[in-house]
Amino acid sequence: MSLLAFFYILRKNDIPVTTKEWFDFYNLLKSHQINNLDEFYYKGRSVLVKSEKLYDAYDKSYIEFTTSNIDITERLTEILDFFDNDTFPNLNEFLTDETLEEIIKRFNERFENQKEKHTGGGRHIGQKGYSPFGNSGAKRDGIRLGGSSTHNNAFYVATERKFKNLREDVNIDERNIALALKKLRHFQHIGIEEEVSLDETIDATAKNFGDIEIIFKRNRINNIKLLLFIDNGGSMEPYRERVEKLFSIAKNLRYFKDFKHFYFHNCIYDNLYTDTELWKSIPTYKVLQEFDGDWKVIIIGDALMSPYELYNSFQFIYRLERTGTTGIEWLNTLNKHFRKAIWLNPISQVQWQHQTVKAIKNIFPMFPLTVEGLEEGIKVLLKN
Amino acid sequence: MDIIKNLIYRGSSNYVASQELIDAVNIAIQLEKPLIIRGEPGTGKTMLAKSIAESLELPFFVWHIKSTTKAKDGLYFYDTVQRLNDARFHDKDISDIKQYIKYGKLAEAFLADKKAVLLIDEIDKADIEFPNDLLNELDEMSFYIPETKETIIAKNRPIVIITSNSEKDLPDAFLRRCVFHYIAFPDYDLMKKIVNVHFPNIHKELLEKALNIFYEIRNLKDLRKKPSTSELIDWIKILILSAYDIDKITLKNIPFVGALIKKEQDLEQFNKLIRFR
Repeated sequence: MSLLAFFYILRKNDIPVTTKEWFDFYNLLKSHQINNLDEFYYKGRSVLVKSEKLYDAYDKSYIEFTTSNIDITERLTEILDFFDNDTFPNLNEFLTDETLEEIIKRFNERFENQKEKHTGGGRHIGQKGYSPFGNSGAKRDGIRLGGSSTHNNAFYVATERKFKNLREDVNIDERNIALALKKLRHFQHIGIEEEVSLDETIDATAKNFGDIEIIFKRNRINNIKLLLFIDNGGSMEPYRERVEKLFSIAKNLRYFKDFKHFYFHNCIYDNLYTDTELWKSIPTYKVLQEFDGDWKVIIIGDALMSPYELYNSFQFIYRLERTGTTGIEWLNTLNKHFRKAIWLNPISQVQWQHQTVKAIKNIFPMFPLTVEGLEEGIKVLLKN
Repeated sequence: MDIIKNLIYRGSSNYVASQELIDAVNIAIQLEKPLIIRGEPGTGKTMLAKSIAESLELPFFVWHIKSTTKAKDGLYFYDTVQRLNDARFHDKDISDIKQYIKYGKLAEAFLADKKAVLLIDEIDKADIEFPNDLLNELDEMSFYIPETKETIIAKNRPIVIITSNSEKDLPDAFLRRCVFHYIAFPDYDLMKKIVNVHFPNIHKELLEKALNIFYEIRNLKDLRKKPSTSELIDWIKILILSAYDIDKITLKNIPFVGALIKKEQDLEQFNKLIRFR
C-alpha cells in the first residue's frame, strides 16, 4: 500500500484521474508545494478533480485514504520520501524544531509503540491525535510538516461532505449526447447576407476593373427542424432522468432551425400535451396540420402496453375525447405524415420481443435510448 | 520543476479570495496550466483574473466569449478586404501580408513583453467544440499562421484563467490539461469580509442584519433565482444611501426587497413562505 493507493481509490470512486494528472500531483509534492495533509486535500483536488460534481466522490476518497485499514507507515514514508530528497535543500526551513531524520525516527518509534498497544491496529498514528511532525500541535489527521496552515482542517472539511448536492450520477454522458445531436444537421445558406464571400468579391472586383466591390453571402445555418414526442407515462419513470437529459440538451443546444416537443401518455392517441402534467392538450390532428412533413421526428417511449391499448379504440385508459381512432392507427398516420421519424426506446433490448414493442417497431425504426442508439437513429433521419 | 520565482499570488486588497482559491491559482502558475474557475454567478469568477494581474503587476488581456466566437478569433484575423482595397492604389506595399494580420487576444497575450494574465471569460457560451479547437494552442502556447508561414510562440507562457458557468460540460481532453477550482458560494464569514471590502465603514449592526436576511432568503426553497453577491451589495448600498432605520428591518419588512428578489414569481413565493413564520 502506498501513495499510489490514493490514485486507485480515486479511480474506484469513479473519478477519472489520468496518469497525466497524477504526475501533476507528483510534481506538486516534489516541488514541496504540498506540506501537510490539508494542502494535500485542497491542492490535490485542484489538479485531480475537474468537476464540482466529483467533489463529493473526492471527499469520500480522501476519507477512505486517510482512515482505512491500510499500512500507513508505507504510505507516510512515501510522502516523506519526497521531502527527504536531496533536490530540496531548503526543506529544513519548513521544519523549525528538528531535522527530517529525527522526525522519521520519532515517527517510526511511535508507530512501533502503537502497534504494540493496538495489535491489528485499525486506527493509526494520525487519527489518534498524535502529531509526530512539525510544530503546530495535534491535528486530527496528523502529519503536519511545520508551519501552521491557513486552511480549514481538511479531514474535517472532507467529512462534512458539503458537495454532496452537486453530485450527479451520470450514466449517460451529456457531452456525448450533444455531440451526437449535432450530427443532425443539414446546412443551407439562409438568413441575411452578412458574411463576406472572398472569392466572389475578387471576381466582382476584377470585372469592375479593380474598383472594389464586396459581395456578401448568407450564413450557413442548420436547416433541420426537430420535433420530439415524449412518453410521460408511469412506466417511463425509471428512465425519466435520461429522457429529461436528452430533452434539455436538444433544447439548449440552440442548434436546430426550430425545435418543438409534445408529451403523450402510453401511446399517441387523439391528443398530445404541451406540459408534463398532461393538462394542456392539443388535438393530434392539429399538430399534424401545424407541422409539415419536413420536420424530423424523434419519439421517445418504452412502447410497452397492453395490446388493447394499442389496438382498441374504446378501452384505452386515459381518454376524454375519443374519435374512435386506435393508437396503432395514429402511429401509422404520423409515420405517413412525417418523412423521417424514429423511435428511441429506453428499455433493454431483451424486452423488445413484447407484442406491442414489436408492432411499433414495424412502423418506426427503433433504437435504444443510448448515445450509440441516438447516433444510429440520426443516420436514419438524415438518409435521403 | 523550477519554481517560478516571485510569482506567488496572495490575493489583493479589493478582492477577497479563500485560501483554497489562492492555492489553486498558485498551482496553475507553477504548473503553467490554465486554471478553470467554475461557480455560481456572483462568486467573483471574472474578478479573480483582474485581481491576479493587479497584484502581480502583469499586463491583463480579456477574451470575452460569445456564442459565435471561434477559436481562431483569439489567434488572428487576416484582413483580405483591406488588402484588396489597398491593391487599387500604389502608395502601399501590399506584398507584405504581415500588415494585414490582426492579432486576437490570445496572440496578444503570447506576444506581450512580460508574462501576461489572460482571462477567457465564459468559455461555455461558445460552441461545444470550441475548447477542443484551443487544445493545442493552450498546450504548446504557440500557433501557426499559414498566410505568412509564421509560427507565433509565446515569449512568456501567460497565466490563463478560464471561467465557466457550467452550462455545458467541457471536454475531458481539455479538462485534463487544466487546473480546476469550483468557487463555493461564500459562507457568512467570508461574505462579511467581501461586504467590508465594498463598504469599509458599514455599521456593524446593519451588516449583520443584512447578512442574516440575505442568507434566510437564499435558504428558502423553490426560489428560481437566488440572490447572489452582487444583489446583496446593491441592496446594502441602497440601505446605506437611504439611511433606513436599522431597527425597522425585519424578515417581514424588507425595504427595497426588489433589489434582492428580482423575479415576480419568486417574490410571490417568498411572501407565501414568510407569512407562516
